[in-house]
Amino acid sequence: MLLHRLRKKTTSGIAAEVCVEAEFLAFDQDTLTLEEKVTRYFEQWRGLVHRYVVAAFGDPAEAEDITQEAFLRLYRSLHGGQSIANVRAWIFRTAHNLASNRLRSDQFIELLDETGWEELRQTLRDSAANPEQRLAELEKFNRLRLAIARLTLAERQCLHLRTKGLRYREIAEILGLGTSTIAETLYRVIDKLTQENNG
Amino acid sequence: MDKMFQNNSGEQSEHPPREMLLLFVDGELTAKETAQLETHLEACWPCRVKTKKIQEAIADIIEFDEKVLTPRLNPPQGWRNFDRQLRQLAAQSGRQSLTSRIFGSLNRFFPVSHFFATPHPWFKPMVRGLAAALVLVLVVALVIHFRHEPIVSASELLQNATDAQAARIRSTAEPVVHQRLRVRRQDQASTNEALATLEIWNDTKNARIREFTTDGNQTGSFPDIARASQVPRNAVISEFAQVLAANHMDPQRPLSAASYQSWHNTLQNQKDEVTRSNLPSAEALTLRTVPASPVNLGQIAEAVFIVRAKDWQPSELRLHVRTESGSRIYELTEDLSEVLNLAQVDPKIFANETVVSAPAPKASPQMSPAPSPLAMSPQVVPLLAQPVATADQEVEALRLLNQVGADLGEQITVKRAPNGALQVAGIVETAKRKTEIVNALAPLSNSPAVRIEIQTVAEAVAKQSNKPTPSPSTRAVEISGNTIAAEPDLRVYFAHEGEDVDAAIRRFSGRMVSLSNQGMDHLWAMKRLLSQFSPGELRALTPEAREKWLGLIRNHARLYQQNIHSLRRELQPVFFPGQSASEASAQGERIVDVNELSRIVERLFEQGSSNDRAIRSAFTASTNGVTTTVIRAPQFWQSLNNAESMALRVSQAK
Repeated sequence: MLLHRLRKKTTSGIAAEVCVEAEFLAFDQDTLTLEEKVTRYFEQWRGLVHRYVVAAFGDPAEAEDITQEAFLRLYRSLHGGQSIANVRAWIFRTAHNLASNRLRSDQFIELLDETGWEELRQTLRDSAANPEQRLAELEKFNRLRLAIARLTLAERQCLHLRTKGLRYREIAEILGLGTSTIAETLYRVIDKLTQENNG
Repeated sequence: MDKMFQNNSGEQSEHPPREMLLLFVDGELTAKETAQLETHLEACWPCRVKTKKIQEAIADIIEFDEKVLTPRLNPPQGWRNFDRQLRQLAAQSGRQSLTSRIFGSLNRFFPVSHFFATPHPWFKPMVRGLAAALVLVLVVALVIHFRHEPIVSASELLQNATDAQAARIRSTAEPVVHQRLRVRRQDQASTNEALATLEIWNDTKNARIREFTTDGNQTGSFPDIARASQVPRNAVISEFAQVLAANHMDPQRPLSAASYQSWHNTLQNQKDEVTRSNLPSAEALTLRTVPASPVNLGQIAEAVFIVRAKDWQPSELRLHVRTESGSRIYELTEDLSEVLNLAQVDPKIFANETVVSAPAPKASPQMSPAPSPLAMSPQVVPLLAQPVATADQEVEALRLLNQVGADLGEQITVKRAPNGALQVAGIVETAKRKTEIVNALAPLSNSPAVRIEIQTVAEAVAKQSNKPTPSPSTRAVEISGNTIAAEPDLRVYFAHEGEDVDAAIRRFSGRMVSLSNQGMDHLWAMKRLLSQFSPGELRALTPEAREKWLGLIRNHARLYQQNIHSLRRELQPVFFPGQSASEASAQGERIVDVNELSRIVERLFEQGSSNDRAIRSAFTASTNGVTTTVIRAPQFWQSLNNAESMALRVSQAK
């Protein structure tokens, strides 16, 4: 109910979008049953949570199960009377912890390995406006892909949580780190990705 | 001049640490820090460049995420399983316990569980004791609080009363609504009062209505039904009916929430006050409405509407109407109200009335003052048969249409007719499209207050062969062999395409015009959504409906912004090689009020239309050999930028 008042001004488009979604959920919660509430949360955030788990932990097969489990746990916790001030962060944290316990980092399956990239390259080829732009775009994506693959686990998690619209303090809470560490890590990510871009 | 910044190792530096620039871009700095940094950025080129690089990196990441990563991640097919698992879980866990619910609501205000989790063993019992005491106090407070049910808002009161009335009618087969109402008229300045009684029989199924009026305070039934129709109308009632009609109230259902709402909707600004009081028979809720601005002669200067608290049944309406000598008070009280089965009603009552099988749709959906049927002889007026649609339903209809893209350029209108019905009408090209739209509207189609009339062009032509056919707005984008104003630039740009250069120019031009067209569709949709409701109606919307309505506008704004962004990205390498096509940012404060939103959308519409004209003049073939174009002008690029930035702002409106 108070969610929209907590929002800050955001500059990146995607974060704003997520906040708008969050705002949509904020209305009239008191008239819903707990089951309906959880179903709404699920419908709202399952896509983002699932994408985060796959992108950060790299196991699409487990990600679906982890996502669902996180929302079922939300139901149990709310049913037990637990207070959850920020449901979105809570869900991400639960999914993150589940994934950390279940998936070892050496099991990471690169979302875009060379074969995957080749397939994608074909489809992207036809989409952009003109040949030069097309080429430039493909090159940019390839550099980003390789740079992201070289990020450390923590850096990757930070990055993917941020792209899902989470604020620094939320990311800090999810990863169990300090807010200033998140800022440093994210800056390192940007630095790494831009270096790759420039060179 | 600049204040010094402290870097991570605690040293003073005239430049902020790099992370701070990222925090700034991400809106994570405090207002004070932001102000300090902004001052620095104004002066410092290197930091500004760094900031811009960070923004570009973010834009790249987002683009990569949207175009590369997200499409790779097919959402799981098995989500459906979740519902089953949740149901099972809910069944196992049973009802939420009372304590957990109390703790749940307490926790909203006081995170008690955090105290319990405090990991200091000696501290815990004390905190626990304190918390327990606090809980006890709060439980008592809550119990006291809940014994006094919160008083509803004006719109809730009217909505509940409308719903309750609809439910009463629904629960009877072949319902006939029978009301006996007393009317009292008194001038403010005198003690003279006039009394009359109005009895209304309304056969809702067959749209037959019969009214009887008498002078004075007659009780009991009207004995001589056959004679009653020959008695001239009672003067007080006729006058009262005219007052109601002049104020957009419904003379056929004078004592109804829908009628009150209809007047209420016309107010631009008003003060509503709901109080709880005791009628002789039951507890009641009283809504008092006073228009904020002075009213004209014959208009309502103050209205009071009283409903019974237990079942939302209206029991009284009081109107203070402005007259030359001050004000005149009309008081309408319920003497009897029942919903009967048609078989229980004396057939003589409707003896002279014709049965109408279906209410005929109004030919002109324009707002006109409600007719004043009481002043006419009782005749077939399907008004009472028509439950009144709510503004919330109107928003819902708009949302459903939006889901199938039927709010973009197709001739589909959503209007509330003067009789209160919500009319969703339109002409579409194919039967398939009609089915699509009708299916999308299915959730509303059961509501008796909603009338859906979607026709195909063929059906419309067949129905009104004597009238000119409205042509559906199709806009074919056709680029034929004539001159395209932007051709010289495009020819240079596509030179390396060799023989394909003409085809490339045609394709490019076609894409630009079609992008611009799509953008205009979204602009029109925004404009229509804004003009759909008056300020009064917007205020009367439930928060949920308002949010839905705003969501539709935001959505169109976002799509328009993306549209313009695509346009800029494609135009930039050809016409503005020196410019950046990165996404515009929203400038200015977040829009939080409707007037502001309305103003910005109006401006956006003007700017967008002028951009659209420029694009069409540059990329469509013309026979007069125009070769000059504004498309290369920096002002045009700026204008596209502005439009994108404004659209972004609208898409974040609250």
